[in-house]
Amino acid sequence: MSVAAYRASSHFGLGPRPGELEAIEALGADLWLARQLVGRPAPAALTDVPPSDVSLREMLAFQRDRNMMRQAGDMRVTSAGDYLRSTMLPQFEARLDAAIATLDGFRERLVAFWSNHFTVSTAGARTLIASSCVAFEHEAIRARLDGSFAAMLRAVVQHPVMLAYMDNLDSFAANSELGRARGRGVNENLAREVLELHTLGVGGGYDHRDVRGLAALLSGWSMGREGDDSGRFRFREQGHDTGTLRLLGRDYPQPGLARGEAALDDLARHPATARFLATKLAGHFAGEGADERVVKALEHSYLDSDGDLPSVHAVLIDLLLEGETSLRKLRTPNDFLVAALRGLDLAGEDLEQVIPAHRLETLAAMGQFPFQAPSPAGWPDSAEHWGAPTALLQRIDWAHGLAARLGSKVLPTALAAYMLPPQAEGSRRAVAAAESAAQGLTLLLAAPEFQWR
Amino acid sequence: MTMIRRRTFLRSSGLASLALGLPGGALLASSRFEARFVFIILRGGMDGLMAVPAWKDPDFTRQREGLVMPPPGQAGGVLDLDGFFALHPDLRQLHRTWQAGDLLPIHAVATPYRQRSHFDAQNVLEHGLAVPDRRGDGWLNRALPGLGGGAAAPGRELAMALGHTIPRVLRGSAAVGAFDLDLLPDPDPDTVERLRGLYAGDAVLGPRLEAALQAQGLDMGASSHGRSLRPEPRLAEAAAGFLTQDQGPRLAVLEMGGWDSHADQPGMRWRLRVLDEALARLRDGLGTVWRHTVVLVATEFGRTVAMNGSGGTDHGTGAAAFLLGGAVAGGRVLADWPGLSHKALRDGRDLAATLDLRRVTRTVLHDHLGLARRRLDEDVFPDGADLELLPDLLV
Repeated sequence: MSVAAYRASSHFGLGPRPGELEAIEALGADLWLARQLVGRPAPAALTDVPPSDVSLREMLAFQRDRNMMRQAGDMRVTSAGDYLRSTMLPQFEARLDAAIATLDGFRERLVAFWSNHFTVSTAGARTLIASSCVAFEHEAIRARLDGSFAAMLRAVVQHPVMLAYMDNLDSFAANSELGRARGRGVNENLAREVLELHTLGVGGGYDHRDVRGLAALLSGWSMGREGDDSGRFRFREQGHDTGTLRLLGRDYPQPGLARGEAALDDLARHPATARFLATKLAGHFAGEGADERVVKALEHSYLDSDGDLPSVHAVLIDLLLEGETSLRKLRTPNDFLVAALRGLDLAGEDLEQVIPAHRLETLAAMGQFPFQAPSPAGWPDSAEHWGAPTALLQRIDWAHGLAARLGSKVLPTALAAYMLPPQAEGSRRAVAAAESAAQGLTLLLAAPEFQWR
Repeated sequence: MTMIRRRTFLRSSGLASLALGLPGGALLASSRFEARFVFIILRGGMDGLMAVPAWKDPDFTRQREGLVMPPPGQAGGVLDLDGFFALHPDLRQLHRTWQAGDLLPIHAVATPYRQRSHFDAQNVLEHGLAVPDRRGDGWLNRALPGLGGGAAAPGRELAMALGHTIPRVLRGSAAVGAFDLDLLPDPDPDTVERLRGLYAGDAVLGPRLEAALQAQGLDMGASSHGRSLRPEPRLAEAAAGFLTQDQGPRLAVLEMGGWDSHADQPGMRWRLRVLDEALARLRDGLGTVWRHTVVLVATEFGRTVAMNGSGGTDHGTGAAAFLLGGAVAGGRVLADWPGLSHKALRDGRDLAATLDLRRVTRTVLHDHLGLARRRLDEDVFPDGADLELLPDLLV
């Protein structure tokens, strides 16, 4: 097994499934990665996840019905929790299934990176969007991975799930018809996070006037609540600011929706955005303290290609696949679980007995339940955060519990041959010297080399 | 506090048919045979000369340098059996079973396997054929149809596995019951030790694991912690509970890991204490049923006679096993002792094996459980039909 093949699978991707390293060797690691950059089919496991407009419409209807029943004194009200368990949890399971089954591990890593960059979260009882987050990720992120950052940014900011998460559904300018009627002005939440987290970044050269300017530009960006566009993006002209708007010293004289879109395009093209995204992407793939050379190359590629994502992603392959750079990146709990289950490739009875009911509970216990990031900044991306002492014990316990249940149904030495990196000789020997298959599997999954990608 | 999973409790107590609304009367009417058999698998390779030292063998002290314990009667001394063999001082309750005449230690015993892989050796121990077969079922499962336990309603299985998983020896086409303690135990001390070794080389994660272990009190340098974490005594107690039910299982399998003592063997006495406690709880829990019971305790292979450079012993050949129970003709040691002189050792390092363990299991199946000879030879041990049964094993 070559170092490049393992690096492609584990560092760029989600970790080797049986046969993946051979497939990479056969094609060449660079080509295996490059062909995931554009034009790949969506994961089959997501087929049954309903589109966001359907889920949002159903949730709106559920909330309406519940309110009516409450008002009528009917106590047979389904709780939102029960409703969500039946809609949201199967989608989260499907999302895990997709990650475990995919042959495009690098592409799904990129999806996860941008999904985390544009975090939507149900933390804080955001029930309206809870059963639409997986669809958001698919529609605004995965489906936009082959185009420009500007197109992804627009898809994200015009997505009802993001608009709802960032409190923009009722953000109407004080000088607008709807604003006057409600006696309320714009909500600056979305504008602030777009500037700080999605585009320019902290220190990206904007101030509070720009936050207000962008908030005004995005006023009236909302969601339909009834009729044909229920659950879909809807621009409410009557809530949009009627004045002349400025952002970063530039005027936006266009009418209505177009000026907000133009402002987002300009933000996407801004050099500070290029710098911010390049730094974040380098940190995610090259590890903390990624060297400046990597950041610069990503930044130049971004600017030269007008933010074409596949071009930028290709730079990661060019720089990191064969480079000398040491790539130290700790797996997050989600990626640890996914890598373990990819490697084990359980099927049938073993899978049913051992896994599904426990996967989401495990992620909850490890502090990374899907779409529960603590803030719009998304999940932390550091070993410091995910490698805390008790977190390591949780991984060891999980590995032990899983191994105990699987017993001798697996052959740890065969798994270690591809699940551990080529240089992990010590851990591979320890797996081989284990006193039982269960202990061998525990050592394999809990080995330090398996915590790093 | 032992938690019994409700579902398994229902199943195993024979109430499943009622709970499921099935016509249960006919099933409950039939009565089961009296004999009980418990198989306890010690995984990792128990050092037979640690558990059952041949302290009067003329070569013992020299060959076991570094691992010899004081003679019987001295402080911390071994517990004498027959003036030649003894028990490890931590097997105190087992020694009482010996004094009651219910223990038959077996020495220089082994499966037909002669290599040194744990996985393959355990496979041979449980599959029951001379060569490893990873897909194979287990000899005890193959014996079930001949004992009237081939097909059973849920909760009426003749055999039961206690622990996280059904060991291979019980896997196969015949239905078996399963029981586990509800609590997911922490990794055992041995596994934690091995992990510490792996993490020692990781500058980032190593110190964090150490910090976590200190905080959790999981640091197994102190062996007293090890005992409370082990589920085996509780599982043994649960096994006794099932085996004493009128309509309950007649066969039970338990397993215990942690015997792979490559380093600091004297520091890992907790294993023996846990085993001793588990066997005592099984005996006490069985009560009057003890007199119908045979318990076999066996491991996949023995260990090297001499101590290695890290205070432990490595994978070997001849091992010790225990046969105990009220139905066992105990009070003596079963061994065709090959001796410990350099010449007598296998490959100059292992205790030689002079008894095929399958002769013991075949005898138990035939004489104790009443399995027909044809079944034994054809279904259970198809390549071991020429292994003679052992006389006088049972009362």
